Amino acid sequence: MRDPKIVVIHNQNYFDTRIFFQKTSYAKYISHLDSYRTIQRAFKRSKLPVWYTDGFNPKIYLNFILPLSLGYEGARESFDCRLSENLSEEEIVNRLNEVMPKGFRVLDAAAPKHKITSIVRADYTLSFFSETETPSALLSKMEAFLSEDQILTEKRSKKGPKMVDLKPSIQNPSLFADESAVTLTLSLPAGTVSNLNPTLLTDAFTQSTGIPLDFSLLRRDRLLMENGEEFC
Amino acid sequence: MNWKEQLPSLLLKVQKPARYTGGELNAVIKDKNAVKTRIALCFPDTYEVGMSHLGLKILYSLINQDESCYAERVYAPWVDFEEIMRKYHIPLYSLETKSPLKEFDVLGFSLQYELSYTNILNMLDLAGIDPLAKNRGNDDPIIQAGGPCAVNPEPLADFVDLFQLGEGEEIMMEMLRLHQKHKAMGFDKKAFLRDAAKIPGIYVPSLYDVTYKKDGTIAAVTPKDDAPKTVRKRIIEDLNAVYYPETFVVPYTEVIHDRAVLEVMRGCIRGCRFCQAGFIYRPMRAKDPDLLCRQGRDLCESTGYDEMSVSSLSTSDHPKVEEMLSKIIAYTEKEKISLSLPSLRVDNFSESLLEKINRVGKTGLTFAPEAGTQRLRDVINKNVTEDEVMETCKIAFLGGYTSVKLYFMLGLPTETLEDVKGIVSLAERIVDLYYSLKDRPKGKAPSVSVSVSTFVPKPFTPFQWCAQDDYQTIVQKQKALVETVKSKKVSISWHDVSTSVLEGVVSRGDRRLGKAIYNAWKSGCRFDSWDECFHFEKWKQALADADLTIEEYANRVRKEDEILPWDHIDVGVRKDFFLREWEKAKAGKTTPNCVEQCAGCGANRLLKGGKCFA
Repeated sequence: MRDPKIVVIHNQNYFDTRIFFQKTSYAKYISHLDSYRTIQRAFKRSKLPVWYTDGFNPKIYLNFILPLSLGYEGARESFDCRLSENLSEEEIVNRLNEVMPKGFRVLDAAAPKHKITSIVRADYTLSFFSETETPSALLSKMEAFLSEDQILTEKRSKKGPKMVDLKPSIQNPSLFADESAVTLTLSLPAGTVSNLNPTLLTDAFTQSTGIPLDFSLLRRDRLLMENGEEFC
Repeated sequence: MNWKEQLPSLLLKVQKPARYTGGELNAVIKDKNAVKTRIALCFPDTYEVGMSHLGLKILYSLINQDESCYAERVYAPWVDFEEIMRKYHIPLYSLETKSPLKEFDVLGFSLQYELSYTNILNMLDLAGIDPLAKNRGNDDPIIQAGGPCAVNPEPLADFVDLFQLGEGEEIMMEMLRLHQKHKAMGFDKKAFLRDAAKIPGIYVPSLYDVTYKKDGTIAAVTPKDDAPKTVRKRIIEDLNAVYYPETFVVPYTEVIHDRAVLEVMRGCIRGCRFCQAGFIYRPMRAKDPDLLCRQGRDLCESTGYDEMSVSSLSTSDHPKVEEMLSKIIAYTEKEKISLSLPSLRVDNFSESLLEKINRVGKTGLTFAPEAGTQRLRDVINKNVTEDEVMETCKIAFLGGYTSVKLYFMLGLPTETLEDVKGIVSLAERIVDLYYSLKDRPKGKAPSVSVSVSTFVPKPFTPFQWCAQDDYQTIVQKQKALVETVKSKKVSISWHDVSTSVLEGVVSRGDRRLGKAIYNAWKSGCRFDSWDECFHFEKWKQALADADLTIEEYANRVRKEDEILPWDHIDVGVRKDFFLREWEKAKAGKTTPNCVEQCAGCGANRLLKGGKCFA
């Protein structure tokens, strides 16, 4: 790896490694915890020299950057781990992809550049349809809904439900329809401070219009930092 | 849009969608059109339960080794997905190729507990297949079933075309070969079943006529079309030579037993009189430690599991238990794999092995004395003495443990109120023992949790003739138990009695019960072993509508000369042995285990040499 970041644990050097991966098809139906287990097992099969946590039951250390909700695909997800050898990026990627189950694909590996706290937004793509509306009718209703002054919805938080206005949080919304579905792309706050799930918006749409939606795609496309650059 | 196109978005509406997607690591993908026989291995419970079952893992890998066969997996959809399947006309499908079950040649159901039976009917119905065998023809899949509950196949005789009795590795392949032969000739269901009945271990219920006396007991069971008079279960003689999977399908979503499993032996030498497994899996056969190590390593390396457990009825009785555990622990420690050793008695292990075991498997201290007094433990032939329990507790307390878990049964034959109260005294004496120890863990209170289940008499046990306590009696005993507890360090938990009552009805049921099972399913019963889905009132109505009662199945003492519904099934252990054991039980006399002294049960006849131990 270039510009390796080294941590010393029990007098041994470990190389901090950030792995970027795709989560698609079957994998979108897996919860965060199950994804974690799935990737741990892949590491075990790969026999990569990975660091185990200390303790009574040592576990492979994996730190996921921003857990993805069940049902979402991820175009560029990431987690951190530690390796005891400075392997080439190519070797890490190949050895993991050889053993990854369907739906998981490692894209690249590198020494981490930024802290998790530098993430502020995420881009999403959602495709949806309705049993009661044609895509073009659905498109105009969604356009009208998104252009309202306020989009109020109830958000569950640790302190109980509270009303939030989603409107100021939505950036760069764009809509189009084809013969089977409406596709919405948008950018929403994400990260350790504030995180908005795009289905909050579509749930608010259903609540306001009475039109239930079925989703053919829910995807987080990228995580962005304050300066607009992609997190890495 | 067809259902396969709709599926991806519909799956987003259900809990744990990964149950229904397939595509897991090591799932076998073949060209379904390039094989001769397609079998769906069906587990009549949720994915999490079914994926934990070792037997189906073995059969899945074994069948798929054969190029001419393709085995796929099917589990019962949970109620939320069932609702969607019915609404959108999605047929029950296999996980590997998403094929509707109607496309298969054979559906094989695993019978692990009686309360899963309505799920079989429901799964067939969700597949668009008539649950009643007599309504199915040459174009329908053959419905077969196996597993421990198949030793009394009669309650399912209306629904299942054929049963495989005993261990499945050989008989399954013999049956599939025969199916291929018949398919090549132009498949005729009746002709196939007649031929299948000639394979040792296969029971075809439609080839037996059952007549009844006025009192509802059986008058005669008459085979026809050359079917054998009795069907004897199959066993694998040499476990060191039998097939074992090199890998497991690794689920995406967590299942109950989500780990590498090593089957270290089959059968049990103990002869606890309430335990059906202890008799129907006889004789005891063990696997070689080195072979087990190889199999464990293969499994862990190909799955990436970081957990391994050993599976058997009583691991401590493995003839080479110390060697086996030392070798397995050596591997798991090196590979940072955590090993669990359920139901392991540690009485006579060496110091060094004990220390290793303590390092790996500190899961808590568990005992199953099953009964509260020595008298009753003698009745059930559970050879655990109070001294042994106390001695082990003492060692454990001194080693830093503070909590003990005890398992008991209520309603055992000859049980009195004194035996019930004995459960509490035993628990309280363990608390007293703790406080009597000078070197006990400092500043910590002990906790003894007592878990009480309800005894259900089972076929092929010495208690197959006896009456199960009725609902009220058990409830009163539970009440008496709770009222006896004085110590705050003792906690008691118990199970709902009504499911045990139903289990008691079904486990010793006859063919007439099929009607009640059908009625219950029709009225909406499925997932009966899940509290949130169990409807006792519906079951009572289903029995009444079939002109049957709970009492005649569960609470009646059967006469010794009565023809029992499972008498034409032979599990190796003879009926006269069970009768002898029943008499000894009533007299409170114990029987030594198989290693100490052969009790002449008859299971040795299943082995070619006729000897259980060399």
